[in-house]
Amino acid sequence: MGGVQPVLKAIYRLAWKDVMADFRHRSTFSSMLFFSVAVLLVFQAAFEPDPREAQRLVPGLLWTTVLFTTIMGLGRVFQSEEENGAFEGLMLAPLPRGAIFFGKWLGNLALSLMVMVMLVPLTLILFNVTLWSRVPMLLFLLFLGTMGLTALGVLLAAMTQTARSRETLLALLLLPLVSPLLIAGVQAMAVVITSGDLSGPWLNLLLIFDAIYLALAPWGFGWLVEE
Amino acid sequence: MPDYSVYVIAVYALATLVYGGITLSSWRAIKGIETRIAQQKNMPLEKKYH
Amino acid sequence: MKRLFALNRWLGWLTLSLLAAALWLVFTAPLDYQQGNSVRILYMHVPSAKMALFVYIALTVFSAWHLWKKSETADILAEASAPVGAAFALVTLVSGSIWGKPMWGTWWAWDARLTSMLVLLILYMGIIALRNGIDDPIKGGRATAILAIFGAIDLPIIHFSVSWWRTLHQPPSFGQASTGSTITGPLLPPLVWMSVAFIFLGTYLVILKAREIRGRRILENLETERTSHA
Repeated sequence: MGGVQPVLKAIYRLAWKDVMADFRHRSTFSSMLFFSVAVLLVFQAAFEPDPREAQRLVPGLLWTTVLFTTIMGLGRVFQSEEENGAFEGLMLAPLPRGAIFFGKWLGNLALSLMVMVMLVPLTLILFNVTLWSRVPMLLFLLFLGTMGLTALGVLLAAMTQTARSRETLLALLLLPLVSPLLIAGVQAMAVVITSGDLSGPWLNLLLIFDAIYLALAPWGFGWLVEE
Repeated sequence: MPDYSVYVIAVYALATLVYGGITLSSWRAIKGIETRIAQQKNMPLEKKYH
Repeated sequence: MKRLFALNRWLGWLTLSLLAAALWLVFTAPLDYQQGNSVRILYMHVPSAKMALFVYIALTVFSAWHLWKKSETADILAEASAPVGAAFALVTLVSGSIWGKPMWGTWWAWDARLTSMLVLLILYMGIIALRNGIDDPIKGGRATAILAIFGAIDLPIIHFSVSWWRTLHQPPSFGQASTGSTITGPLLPPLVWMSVAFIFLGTYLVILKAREIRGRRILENLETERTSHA
């Protein structure tokens, strides 16, 4: 029984190390946050929605912004290891490969969630949408979607880390694969906004997507880094 | 019944172009590669390791 | 593998004669009373679509085989499948679009089938780009194999979610029209012949590409061997 707890602890420490290192040196967090604001600005300039339209656009707006912002964060998941040549060292750690994956995933998820917590109110303010009572539900849906999104994303980031023009490649691979997640997320959010109802088939699809990718991505990661 | 011949011709021309193109480019590449392999293999040792 | 390449010459001739026979049938078949001449587009569209999917299945099998057995043959075949599948997917999309214009009055509709085919094409391009982007061939082969398997898992989800999405929003008005299930009676033989000819065409092209890729790898090995001795 003693086997599980040290692994969980290692996952947590790996994630914590990444988040702290990010706050200190790499500042992925702040660039993600300001990038997401810039995306909102672009949307506003491109569509100029009035408040009624904006309310209809909010789900798509939030999800697209989250998607682009997450891709930006994912591009840096393995960057510090790549720069210091520490990737091999990380792989030599006496840990199952799945645990390394989950550590990296958790760190990235934490950063993305912190961005989202600020992004949702910012969007409502900038687009003059009064949906304050729905904020917890919106955040919950984004949280669910981001779990699957970053699970697949961290795997693809590991896949493309040694490739040339890896950030373009990451976006090219990730966007088509997460399209079901985007459809389900936008639809579930539209339901929440119009009826305040947090259930239904789209939520189930989100959960299914999360379950599939959280189960399979560590396995794929194990194959990928195998010597 | 309108005549759709233009659409039909466009589709078959495109398909010929794509499938024919992939075949021809592969043939050309194989020809080039296999001659170069043969050259490499037939090269005398002193020249090969120069 | 060499024996396979020798066999492929015969396969090429067989494919060519099958294609000729199928095309003769296509252009002599009676016209559909509703669709007229345009039904001939489907004789190209439907077999291409089937092959685009079929080659992806083969690609997934080769990828799994490569991951499992570390077989270089499987890796070469997987690398060879991607461009061939992409060609089939491209012809499917463009011919579907050209068929859609006179039949539906629009070049494009976001229905489940078209959307999944578009994603399939992007996926093929991603697989090719990933392999070209990684310099280490062993790492590249493995990463590509894993990507192909994940794509295989994702494609049914995409198909399912898009069809669900469309049916909730609007009735599937085009749904069945592009499958060829409306093709019956005297219109069927050309379709069957084209489908069979395309199975041979796909196999021929994959083996041809495999020969090219194997040759390229051998050549690279010979050249690095030479420079390392110099």
